[in-house]
Amino acid sequence: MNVTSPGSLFSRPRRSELRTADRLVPLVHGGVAAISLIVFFVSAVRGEYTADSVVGIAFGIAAATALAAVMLYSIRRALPAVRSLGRTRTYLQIHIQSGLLFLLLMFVHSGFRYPAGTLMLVLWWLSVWVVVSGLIGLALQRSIPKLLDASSSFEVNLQRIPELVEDVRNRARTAAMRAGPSARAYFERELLPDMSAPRAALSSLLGRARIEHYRSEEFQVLRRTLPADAAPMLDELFRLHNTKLEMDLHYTLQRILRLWLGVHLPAAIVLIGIVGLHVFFVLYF
Amino acid sequence: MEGSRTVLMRRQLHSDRWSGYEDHAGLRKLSSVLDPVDMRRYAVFDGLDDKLLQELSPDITIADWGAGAILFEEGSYLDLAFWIAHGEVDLFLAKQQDSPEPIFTTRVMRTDEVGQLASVVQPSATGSSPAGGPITFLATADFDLPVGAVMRLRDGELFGEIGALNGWPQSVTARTATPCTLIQIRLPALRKLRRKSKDLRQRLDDLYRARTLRQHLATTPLLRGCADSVIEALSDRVELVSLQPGEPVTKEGEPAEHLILVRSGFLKVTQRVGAGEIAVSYLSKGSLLGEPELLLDELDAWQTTTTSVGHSELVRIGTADMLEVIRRQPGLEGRLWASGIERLREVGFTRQHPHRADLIDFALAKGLVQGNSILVIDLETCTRCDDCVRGCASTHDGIPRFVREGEKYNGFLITRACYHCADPLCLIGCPTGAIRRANVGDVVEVEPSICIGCGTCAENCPYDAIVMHDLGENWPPHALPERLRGQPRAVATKCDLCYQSEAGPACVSSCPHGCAHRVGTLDEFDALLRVKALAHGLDQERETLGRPGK
Repeated sequence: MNVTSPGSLFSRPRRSELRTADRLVPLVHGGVAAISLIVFFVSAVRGEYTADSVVGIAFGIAAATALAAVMLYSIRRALPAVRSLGRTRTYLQIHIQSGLLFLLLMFVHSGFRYPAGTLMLVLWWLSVWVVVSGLIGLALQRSIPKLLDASSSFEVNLQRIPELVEDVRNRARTAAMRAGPSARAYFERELLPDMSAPRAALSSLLGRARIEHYRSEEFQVLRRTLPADAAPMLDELFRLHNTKLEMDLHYTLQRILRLWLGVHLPAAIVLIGIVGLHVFFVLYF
Repeated sequence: MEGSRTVLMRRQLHSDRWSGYEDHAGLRKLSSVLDPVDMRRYAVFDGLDDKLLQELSPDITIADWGAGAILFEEGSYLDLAFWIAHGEVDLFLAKQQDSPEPIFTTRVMRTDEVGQLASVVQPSATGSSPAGGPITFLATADFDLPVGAVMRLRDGELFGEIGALNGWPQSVTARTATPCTLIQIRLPALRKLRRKSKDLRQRLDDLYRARTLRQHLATTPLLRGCADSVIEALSDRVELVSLQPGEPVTKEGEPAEHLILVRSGFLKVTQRVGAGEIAVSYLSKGSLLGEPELLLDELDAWQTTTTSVGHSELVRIGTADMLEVIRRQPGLEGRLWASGIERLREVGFTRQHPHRADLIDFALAKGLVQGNSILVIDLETCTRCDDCVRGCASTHDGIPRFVREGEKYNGFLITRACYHCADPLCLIGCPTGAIRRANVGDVVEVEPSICIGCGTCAENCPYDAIVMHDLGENWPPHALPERLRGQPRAVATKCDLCYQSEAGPACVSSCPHGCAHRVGTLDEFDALLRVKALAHGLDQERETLGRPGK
C-alpha cells in the first residue's frame, strides 16, 4: 500500500506461533486416541483386558491426565496477567480435545461396558453429561455469534443493555410526546410495556420480523392521524422501537452464551471430585 | 463579544500551560478577550478587516513571558503558533545536546527495495534498528538546526506554525531569551489567517522554504540521495498548497501539470466507473500523486480525482521542473515508475473489487487510515466472553484500557481502543506532557504519575479511545498546579499495546477464540475481511489474498 503506515507491533510472530500450536494439539490428541484404541483392541482380542489389568490401569491414568489437561484452560483464564503461560486460544483447544479424549479413555478404561457400581455409574453419566454439554456449548459458541452478527446492525455489551434500554425508552417517550397526543397515547399503551426492560425471549429472534412488520403497519395508520410535521418524530419513535427489539436479540443470545456454562461447569466440578475419589479408592484399596 | 458562548467554550477548551497562569511559572500576563482595536496594534494582523479579526479573536491570546521560560520542548505536539511581538526567543535541540542519540529514534523511515515509497518501520521492543539505516522522519524536521546550534528569533518572527498546521511534533525546544510579548495563535485562527491573508500565507510559505523544505525534500524517498544542487533548485520552484476538508486537488480529465507530494493529511483518490465514481485509493503523508501522468506521454490528463479528506498540506512540483530533475538524476525515473505502477495496480485492483472501494471510504470516514494498531474483533466468532477486556484489565492494575464497543464493519467490531495514530490529536495541548509517544514504534502512552486528569486528551481523541478514570482519591494539599488541591483525582487511561510485555497485547493473547486482531494497515484489515469472504464463498481469488494488485 502506498502509505507510510507501519505494521502492527507484534502480530506476525504470534500468528506463526498460533499455526504451530494449532497443528500440534490435534496431532497429540489424535495420536493418543489412536494408540489407545489399537492397544485396547489388541488386548481385548487376546482376552487379557480388564479395568484393573496393567493396560486398564494405564488407560485410567491416561484418562485422569486428560482430565487434568482439561482443567488447564480454567487455570489460564484465572491468571490472565501471567502472560508467559501463552495464548488462551491454545488452552481452549487443549480443553476441548482433552475433554473428548477423556471420554474416550474413560470408555476404554471401562472396556466399553456399562458400569455396575453406584460410584462408577455416577462417574460414567457425569462424564457423558459434561462432555455432551461441552459439545452443545461449543455448538452454541460457533452458531450464536454468527446469528448475532447476521441479525443485528450494532454491537452492545450485555451488562450495558439495561442502561441502554432505559436511554432508548426515554428518547422514545420524548419523541412520542413531541409527535402529538395520539402518538403519546399509542406509545404509553402499546410500546411502553415492551420497552420497559430488556426481554430475554426466543421471540426476539424468531418473531422479530413479524413484530417489526406488525408495528410498521400500526405506525402507518398512526401517521395518517398526525400532522405532517410530526412525521420525523414518528420515524424516530419507530427507529427506537426497532433498536429495542435488536437489543432484546442481543440480550437473549448473549445470555444463552453465558448461561450454558451453568449446565456444564457445576457438573464438571463434581466430575473432577468423583474422579479424585475414584483414584483415591483405587490407590487405597 | 465578552460574554460570547464561543469565547467561553474556547477558553475552557484551552485551559493549558499557554493559557493558564498556574500551569506555567514563566507566564506573567495573559490578555483577556481581544477586540479588533487591540489586535490592530500588531503587524501580524495588518490588512485584516474587523469581521475577520472578530472571528479570530477567540483563538488569539497575547502573552507576556519572563526570560528563561520554556515555551515548548522538542517532541511536543502543539495546536498553536507564536508570533514575537516583542523580545527574543532561542530555539535549540535540548535532547540532542545531552545525548548522541537522535531525538526520534523510533520514528524512522527507510526506502524499500525499489526505493520509491516511504514506510515507517517499527523497531522491536529490544530496539533493533531497521534495515536500510535510520533517517529522521520528515515529520520531525520543522527546523533544519544543527546539533549544538541556537537559533535566535526576534520581533516579527513566527515559530511553531509548521508543527501546528501539520500535526507534527516540534523538532526544537523554544525558550525565551528575554522578557517577551508573544501573540499565541491557535490552530483554527492560524488556518483562517493562512486562508484569508495573502501576505501571511506568503510569509508562512517563505518560512517553510527557508527553514524546512530543503531537508523535507532531501529526506523524501523519491529525492533521497539527490545532489544538493538539485534539491536546492527544486525547493525554489515548488508550490506549497494548503487544503481545506473536501477541497479538490486534481480532477479526472483535466490537464496534469504537476507531481504532488503529500506533506500532511489524507487525500481520497476516486475514479469514474460507469455513470458514477468510486474511491480507488488514498494518499497520506509522504505519498506521491501524478507519476503515470508525468512519465507517460499518452497521459496528459489526470487519471483520477483527488480530494482532501481533512486539512492537508501538499508540495506541488511542476511537470517541467520534475522532468528537468529526472534529466539530471536519471535514477529517479525508476523510482517514479515503481511508485506509479504500484498505484496503477491498486487502482486496477479496487476497480475489480468493489469491496475494497467501500473499505477505503469507510477507513477514511472513520479515521482507520490514521491508525498504526487498531483492535478489531471478528463478531462471527466472538462469544462476548470479555476475556479480552479482563486480560487488558489484569495487565493494567485492574483498569481495562478499552471498551468492547464501537463501529461494526462487515462482521468486525472496530473497538474503542487507541489507534496509535500517525498524527495523534490527543498529544496536542497536554499541559504536562503526560501523554506521549513511548519509546517503541508509534505507541502512544499516558504517564499516570504526571497526568493531572484535565481530560484534554480525551476530548481531543476523535475515536473516544481515552477514558478518564476516577482514582477515588483527592489531590494532596501540596499538589501543583494549586487549583488541583483537594479536587477528586482522575487519570487518563488508554491502550499502550502492552508494549512492555514481550507477549504482545493482552487483548489478543487472552482471546480464547482467536477473534481479536491488531491491524496496522488497511491491507491487513482487508486481508481479514477477505479471509471471511472466502469462508462465505464470496471471494474466489485466493491467490490475491492480502496483496492488492498482485
